[in-house]
Amino acid sequence: MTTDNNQPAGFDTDDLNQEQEMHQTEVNMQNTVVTETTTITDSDKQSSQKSGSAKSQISMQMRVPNSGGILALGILSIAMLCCCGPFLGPILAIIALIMAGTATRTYKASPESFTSTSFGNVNAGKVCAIIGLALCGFMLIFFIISLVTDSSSMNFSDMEDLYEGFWDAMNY
Amino acid sequence: MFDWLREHMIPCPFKVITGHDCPGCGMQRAIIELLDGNIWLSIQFYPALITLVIMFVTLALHLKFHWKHGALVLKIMFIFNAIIIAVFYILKTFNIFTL
Repeated sequence: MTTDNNQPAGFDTDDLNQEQEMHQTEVNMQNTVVTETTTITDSDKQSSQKSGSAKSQISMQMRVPNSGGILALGILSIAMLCCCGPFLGPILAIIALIMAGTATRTYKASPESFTSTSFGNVNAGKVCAIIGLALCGFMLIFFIISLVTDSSSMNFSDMEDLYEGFWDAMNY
Repeated sequence: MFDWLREHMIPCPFKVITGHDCPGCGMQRAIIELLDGNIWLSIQFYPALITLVIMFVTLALHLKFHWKHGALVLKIMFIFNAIIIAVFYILKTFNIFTL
């Protein structure tokens, strides 16, 4: 821009100079716009990296689908063992195990796009479902045994009767 | 109200069919005694009730607030509860020991 003013003005060169000036200003404007956009994207990247490292990348990553539901089902399997006998617990545990299988597959497909805490939920739910399923299995076996055999012959309170008989014999 | 609850409890289908206690038998009595304020009686009826309540409160809070180590804590509490329930069920069924 300043070099054009220092050049000697010949004939019909003013228009050319003006055209050149116009062209150069346009180019300069475009350059400034491009540099501005590049600086904006750089700052965005830096800020996102900072926030991701500071908040353990929660803002960038998703939770594994159904992670909370898997944990809740796995823990509820033992509550169903307590409330309704060994009939509803295995159903909840098997549902939790199937959902955990699909969730681990989706997590293994792209581990970077999910949070590690939600995958911990999935793992904990799987462990709880396996324990609940084992306990319900034992209870089902016990239930079937006590149905097949006569329940009066399998009386576990024999010891109490024995003690009572003992005290009766002692005239208490 | 608690006396009415004590007279109107839901019968256990497992106990009706088999004649033996299920792993959750005693929980209703324990809940009623806990609501009435008799903590030691509720522990005698069902020792795992208080730990189960703590576990479910922790589960609800973890699902709400997404704690970092919540899953590990819940896993440990679940194993602890399972051990308590299994041990006291075996003791109760075979009349080895009652609180």
